[in-house]
Amino acid sequence: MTEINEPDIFVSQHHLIDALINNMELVIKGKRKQIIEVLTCLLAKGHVLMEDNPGTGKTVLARTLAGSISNKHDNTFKRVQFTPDLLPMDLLGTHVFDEQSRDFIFKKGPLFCNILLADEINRASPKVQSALLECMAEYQITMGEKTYLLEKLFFTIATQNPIEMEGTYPLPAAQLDRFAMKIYFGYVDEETEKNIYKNYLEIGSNLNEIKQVAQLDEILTLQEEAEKVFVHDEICQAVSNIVRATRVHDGIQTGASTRSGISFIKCLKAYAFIHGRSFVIEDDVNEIAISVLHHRLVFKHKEAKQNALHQILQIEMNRLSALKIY
Amino acid sequence: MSKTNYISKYLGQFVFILLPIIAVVYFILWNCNQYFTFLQSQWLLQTVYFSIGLLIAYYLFQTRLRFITSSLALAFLLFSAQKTIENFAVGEFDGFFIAVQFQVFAYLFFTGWIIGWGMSRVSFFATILSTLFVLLCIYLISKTGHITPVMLLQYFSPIAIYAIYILYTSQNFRVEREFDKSFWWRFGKRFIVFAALLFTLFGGVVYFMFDEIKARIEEYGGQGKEGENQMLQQNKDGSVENKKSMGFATSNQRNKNPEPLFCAHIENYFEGTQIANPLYLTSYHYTKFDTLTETFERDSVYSGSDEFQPNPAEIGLFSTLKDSSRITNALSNKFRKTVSIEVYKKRLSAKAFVAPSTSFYVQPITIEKEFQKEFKSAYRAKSYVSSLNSAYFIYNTTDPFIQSFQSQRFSELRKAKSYEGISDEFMKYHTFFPNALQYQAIQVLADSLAKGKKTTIDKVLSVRDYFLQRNSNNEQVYTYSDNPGIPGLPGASKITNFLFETKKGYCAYYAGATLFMLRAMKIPSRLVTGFLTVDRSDKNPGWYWFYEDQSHAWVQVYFPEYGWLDFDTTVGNDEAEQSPSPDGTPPMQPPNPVLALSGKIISIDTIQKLLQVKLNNLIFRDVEYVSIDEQAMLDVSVCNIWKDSLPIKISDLKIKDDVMGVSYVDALTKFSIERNVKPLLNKLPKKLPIDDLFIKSLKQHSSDKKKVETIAKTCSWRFYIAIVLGSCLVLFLGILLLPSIFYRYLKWKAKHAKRAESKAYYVYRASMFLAKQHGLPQNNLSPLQFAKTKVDMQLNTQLTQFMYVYLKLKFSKQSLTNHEKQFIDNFLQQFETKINRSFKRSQRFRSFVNINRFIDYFYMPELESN
Repeated sequence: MTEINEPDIFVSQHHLIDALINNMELVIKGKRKQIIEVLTCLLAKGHVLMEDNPGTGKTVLARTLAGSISNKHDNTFKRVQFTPDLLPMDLLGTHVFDEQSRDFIFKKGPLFCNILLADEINRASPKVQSALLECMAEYQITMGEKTYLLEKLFFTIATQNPIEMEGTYPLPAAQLDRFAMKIYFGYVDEETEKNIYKNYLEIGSNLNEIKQVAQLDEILTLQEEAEKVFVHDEICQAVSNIVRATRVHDGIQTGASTRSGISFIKCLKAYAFIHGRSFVIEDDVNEIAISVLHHRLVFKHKEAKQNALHQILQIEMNRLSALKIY
Repeated sequence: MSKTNYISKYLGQFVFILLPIIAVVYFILWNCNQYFTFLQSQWLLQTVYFSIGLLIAYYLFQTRLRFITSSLALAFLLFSAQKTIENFAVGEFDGFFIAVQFQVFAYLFFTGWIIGWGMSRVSFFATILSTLFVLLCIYLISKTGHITPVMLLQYFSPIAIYAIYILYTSQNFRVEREFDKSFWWRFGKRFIVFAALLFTLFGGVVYFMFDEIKARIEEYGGQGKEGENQMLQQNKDGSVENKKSMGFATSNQRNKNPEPLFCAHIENYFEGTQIANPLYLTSYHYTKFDTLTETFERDSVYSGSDEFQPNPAEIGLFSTLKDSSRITNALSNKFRKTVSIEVYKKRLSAKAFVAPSTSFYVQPITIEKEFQKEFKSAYRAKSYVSSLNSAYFIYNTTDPFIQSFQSQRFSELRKAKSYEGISDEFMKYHTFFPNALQYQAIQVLADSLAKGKKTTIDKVLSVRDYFLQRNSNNEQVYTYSDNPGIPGLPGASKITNFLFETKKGYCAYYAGATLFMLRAMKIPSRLVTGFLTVDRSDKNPGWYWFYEDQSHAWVQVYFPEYGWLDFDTTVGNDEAEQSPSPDGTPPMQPPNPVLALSGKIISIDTIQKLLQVKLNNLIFRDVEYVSIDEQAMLDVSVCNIWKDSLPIKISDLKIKDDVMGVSYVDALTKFSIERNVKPLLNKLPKKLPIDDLFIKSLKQHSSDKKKVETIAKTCSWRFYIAIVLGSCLVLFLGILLLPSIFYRYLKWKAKHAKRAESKAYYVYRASMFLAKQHGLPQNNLSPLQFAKTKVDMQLNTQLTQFMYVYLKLKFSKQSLTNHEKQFIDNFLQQFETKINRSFKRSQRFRSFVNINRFIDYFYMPELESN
């Protein structure tokens, strides 16, 4: 009997995704899970928030992703370092007076790009953070009377340091809800870390010489393809159960919104798609639920922050795995 | 913990915790069996019941088993089993018996269960348990009639040692986590030191304090419980019989029940007259005396005894038991005659046998139909009695006839020879006199009474007269009392206290004191118990009724050549509650059967009223022929046929019925007895005339019933044990087989599933089950993760691929490709082969009998909490 491998069974667009992942792995070592999650957000048309201590590779990941995608107009990647004195206009752009036309023209800010790296987003004041709300949700910027559309592919990678650190403003809930996922980076394992130390030069040059493996159009196509992934009723049921359970759980003050549910479904589709499947399975739910939901919830106490979502998820997973299919 | 560690732990627990408990419980049960007849002296078996409960519970409760639920379930199971047995056992065998036995089983098993649970789960349960044991021990001691220091030690030391021991061990085992060599080394060292210390302390206390303890016990050691009839013992079925031993209690509760015990017809008349001569009915001879406790006991070892104690319940109807060695042992030849007696029992135990001494013959007989309700069983006995013997032997009565009879007897006995020439052994045995200091006073008293008396009978009469003496106010010096009280001085002898201080007591006191006074005079004498015969009625001469308060003890004195004669010195009872109710009508005496036979019907001739019977045994003129192989023709033309004491017709008889025929025809007596049955049958008429024919069924006759009952008991015992053990075994095996049965069920379902979905589902269930049963832990992993990270990694299987196909079926609406279908079809087979290759046969076997994992499979994984 011949071996049946995962790709054999399912029809997929794998080559492009594989190329992206492999390309990024040249630079980011030992972070396959995080890479996949970032790509999931990209394909789910969401934004991603990465949180961890400084120096764990958040920025490098964002840069690598941006570097892997090519665009004719060359406005693929913009990076904004958020600081406490950053103003909204520094992000959105501003009207400047044009001597020639004797008129105010709009000078586009760094938001008009495909991939935005909002580094250390929680160092900026709430005023600046609010400026991101509209563009992240509606892919447009309204300045005075005029509304400017953002690029077709607009993907925000925000990084933040743990909010307990000095000089940070916690993100408002509304802002957090606009991120499809919050990814914890964590440190790499010992073996990988040793490797990184050995080859840091090479890795550094990899970052500079990164190949552009995907066209912007192709990413847009992938997004459309991911949208077509089949979601079984029971999976919808599970998502609904989980989201609703967060609203009635004892340890949770504010549960997940309907938007988060939609975002969850989108992420599930993208996640399954990245794994080369045309349908979502129970394990997809298990693997991304925490990343998708955890940052949106307001917990009553520390213990609940650690356990509550896991418990809800566990119950739902038990239900799903015990499900009889006929 | 490693596997050997577990084994070492379980084994250690078994040896050091459970075995001691079982041993102590065995000890306690053994003791209980001495006091509670319903336990049937089956202490070994009862210990086994207890142990089963204990072991099962102890090891079961080391798992996560719920105590309350499981115990309630067990209790319910036992209860319903009990009810079932009660219903089911009615017809076939003795339901009461089985029910009682099951009850014993249930209680013991459940007790074992609870104790097993406690030892397994509850900390400091050992303390509770040892306290319970000590309390139980105290209770048992309080039940004991005769306490001696040795007995007290016997009772207490095992329990006390156990209590200290278990506190030490159980704590050791409870605290310890690692059962490796170092633990055993440490435990062993401490254990030896501990044991040595314990034994030194305990032994020292016992050794140095023994005399002290002894003195205390003698001070308080009352024999028997208060408020009990000291002469009788009550059996579980409400019947009574004489006690097997007799001490001096502080009170004797008589006349509890106004119902007569039995009624007897004694065929004994004064020579040449029609005046009935009542005789005391003897049951036991108390020839042994325990000086320490002042208790009289039976001596089953003494070979020269003429005590005849058959069990009438074990003798077949009309069968006879004859022991002529008793006549030889009676050592008498003068004035002896054979007297026959019939005893009709009401409340007297079916097992009991009473007859005038010296009895040598017993034959259970039927009871006439009208009296069967009143009397339960009956027997005929024959005794070799002296015509000098009589209940009127001692006391002066006003009846001139009796008076003259007495003086005649006494003058006859004065002719008796001295004791020279009687064997030393006999004399020594029957004149044993304790040489303790306190008995010297009796010796002095006896010497003073015997002074100047030459003949034995005069010495005996001097003792009688001593008890009948009156003081200056013409009041009796010695009085009858059922409440003689205890001696004021600790350690004082009860007999001397009675004789010299209180001067009141009941029959045991008088008999005991008389015995020692006679023995002090070197007159061979012995103590007997039985029933005092009172002639209350003139209407039915020879018939006597016996009530509870007639249970009695008295002395028998040996006169050379005349033999043992009754001699009662108990003074009359002034408190006199005599004759509780007028005597009833005596039962009609059944005629003495000339011929009795039992056998199976071979053929029936209803016209000529003839029965062809294959004989089992035959009794002709009191001679019994057993296990014979002959046939006989019975003439039943004038016969009453009985079944369960109801008359039936000859047409109701069936071939193969067991019957017993009895003939009272006088004409048969002219035939003489033959040595063998064959010539006898040839001599007798071809058609044997039969008057009564009993169809033997289980309830046909009480004595028969008893016999059948004992048989039923033995076989139902086995049957019952077999059922209990068998069902335990089946249950146990069934539980062990559950995992493989379940797996086979899943496999079968997978094989026979019609749709691809259900097939995949059962293959999924089966493979997951197989993996988990072989010890791969899923924990909180999803099935796919489990397959990927555990099963495939460890066993090199393709479960992950299968899971992808399965999940595709489950969560997409796509149909499978042929390739995938084929994969599912072959997957389970492959998976099993891989498993078989990865695990050894023994590992696989152990995995499949692992109930824990089986239970875990159905458990929802516990919610994770970080």
